[in-house]
Amino acid sequence: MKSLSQSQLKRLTAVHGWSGTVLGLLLYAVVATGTVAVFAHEIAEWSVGGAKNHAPLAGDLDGKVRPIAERMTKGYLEEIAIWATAKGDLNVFPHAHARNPESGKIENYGTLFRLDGTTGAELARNEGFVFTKPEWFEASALEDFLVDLHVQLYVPRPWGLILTGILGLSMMAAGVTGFLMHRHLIRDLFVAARPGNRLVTARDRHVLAASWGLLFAFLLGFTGSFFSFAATVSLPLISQVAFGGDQKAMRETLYEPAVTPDPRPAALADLDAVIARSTALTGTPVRFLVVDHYGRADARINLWHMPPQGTLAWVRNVFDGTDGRFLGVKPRVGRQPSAGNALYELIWPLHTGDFAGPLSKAVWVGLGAAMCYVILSGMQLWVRRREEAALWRGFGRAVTITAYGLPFAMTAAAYGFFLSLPAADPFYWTPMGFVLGALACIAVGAFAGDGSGLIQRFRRLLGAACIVLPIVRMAMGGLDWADAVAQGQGAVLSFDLMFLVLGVLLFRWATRQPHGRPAGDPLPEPAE
Amino acid sequence: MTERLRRALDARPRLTRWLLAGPGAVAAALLFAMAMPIWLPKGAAGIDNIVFPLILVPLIWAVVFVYACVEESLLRCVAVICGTAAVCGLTAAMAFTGWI
Amino acid sequence: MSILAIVAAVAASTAALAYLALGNAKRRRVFGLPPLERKAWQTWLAISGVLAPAVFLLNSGGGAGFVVWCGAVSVTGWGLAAMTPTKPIVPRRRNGGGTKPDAAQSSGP
Repeated sequence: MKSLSQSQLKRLTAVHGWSGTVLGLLLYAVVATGTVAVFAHEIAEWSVGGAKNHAPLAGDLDGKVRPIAERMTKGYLEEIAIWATAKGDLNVFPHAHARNPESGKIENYGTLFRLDGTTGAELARNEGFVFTKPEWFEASALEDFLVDLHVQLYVPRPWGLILTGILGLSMMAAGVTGFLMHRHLIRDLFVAARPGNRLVTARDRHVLAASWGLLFAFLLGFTGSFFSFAATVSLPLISQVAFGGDQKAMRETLYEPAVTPDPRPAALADLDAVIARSTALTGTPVRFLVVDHYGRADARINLWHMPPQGTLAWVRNVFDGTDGRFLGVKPRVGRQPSAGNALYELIWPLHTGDFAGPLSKAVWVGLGAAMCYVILSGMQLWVRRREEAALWRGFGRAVTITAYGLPFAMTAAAYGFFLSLPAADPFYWTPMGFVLGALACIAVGAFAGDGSGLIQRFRRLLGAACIVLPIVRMAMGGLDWADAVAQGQGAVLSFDLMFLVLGVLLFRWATRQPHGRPAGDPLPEPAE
Repeated sequence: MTERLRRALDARPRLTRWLLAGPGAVAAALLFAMAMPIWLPKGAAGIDNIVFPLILVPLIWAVVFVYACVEESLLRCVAVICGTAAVCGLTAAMAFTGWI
Repeated sequence: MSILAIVAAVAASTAALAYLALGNAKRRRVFGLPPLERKAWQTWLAISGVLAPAVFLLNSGGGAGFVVWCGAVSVTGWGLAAMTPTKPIVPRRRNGGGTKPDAAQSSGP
């Protein structure tokens, strides 16, 4: 770093600053929604009023699935996927693979049964390319929207993925260029922002947060861009070389376990016994289950378990479908353990923090919040250096509007979800709530006063939205706190309380006169 | 020839740098990853040569991008990035057509 | 690897980081505080104190504890470093009533 010349430093500064300025707001949107999406499953549970059954896969599953499989035509028995929704219902999906004329790709086609997780009573049935219709298989439109917003910014595939992939790359680039530019990373690791409202204070804040978050900024950007590009760009290109474009050969090598076809009829082993055995072997609950070739001698039962205690990767156990024999653990890629698989398995937990329960998720939320701070403080620093120009002051205002507008719009999406739940389509009104919330913030930002008045208005607005949200949730027929406690619905209670605390903190923050200027604070008024 | 190229590059340093760090880095990273399955060992499960490039694409891009930003000599930068892209592209094309 | 062990490891590393932060020469200089006369071995011991829990986690589990530790320390370290040294820290330090490891030794000559 010391060896960099002036011209090199100048170039790196330009790349760091301009990439942050051009892509910073979108990057903030991806990181902020990603921070929220860490708890996507818990948000889903909260939004639907808790799960009626926390372990529907561990009960009498065989008795619920077998009657469905028995009445399906043979073609749909290629695979039966089974998983629980956030509500605690069961999705049972016997399906085949067919080309979807809309996407031109091979997709899962079949009949999706939604069953009561406890009684097994049929609640809904839909037939088609199921995974193109979130309203069929998702319990919570809110979860679906927030995850989609993070993964592809609500832009259709593959463009949304390519966009978020580019943002991931820009996050990596910002991390590396920032690291190369910062000459005293270790020496300044404990230097808090110098007091006051000076340029150096803004710089200190950005540099300090970025230095501590450097490793994870790089890691999250890297893993995120992998997820965005792997299926859309990299794999199709690499498979051209490695398999001459033969998708089937590639799928077989990477994902499908080796099975000798045997179409003779045979009864499926007892699913409940297999689940019990698999759970005893791995020590964590089953989250997803797929029966291949139901009713045939070559049937296989695949069970996905959450990572065993102390480890990072999900486990896939494979059992013989006829006699229930344990056949082994199937690596995520390939048919036996390998270095490539070990690396591949790390990507998901490292990106999402989904491996050690609420603790790791909470840490990832902290990291995401730190990244948001780095992005916003970086953009503020950039603007402060140019605040003489009206154009840059306008950009500074846009940063402030986005900083508060995005969380407000996400809260508005939750309002859209709850308010439409009793009588309208939440899958339409949740994104609409987001759009209306965003427009409201843009209007406030455009017409309300400047400087700290605007910020305080935003904080009060967001605070009020947070405090009222649990009340609206309950008013729309959601679980009340007494029932939540009685039923042990931790997600419902903790999210309601979190919103109330957050709301109160935002109100206090709005009235407090800060020493300096925390993230999202107003840019100073231009000198009169 | 080299001198003429150097002069041409130095006459438009900003454009050259943009092309190298922008489309150049993306193309070089993808071509490098496409050629990797040919020379990487397949590993215990026969998949390492596919999985490693698949995962490492963003990292390769970052390396090329940062190199394109910090390299002082534009000529060397063009030679390294275009040379790598050309060799990898050629290898990948030969593998695709079944020559190797 | 229990959750408790991970939390304890993060707490231990954070405490060692707090010790390093309180005695950090540049931080003290920037905020006009008198330098703490620390021996090199004390600083190195504190650095070992930051890293030792990570080594312990890495050795005693499948990596999950270590990864959580890395993330958690990135956040707690930032939180600690971002706190401006304000007046209340100084009297507590002088009275020797603080819980930070350097509370006693900072009251030196």
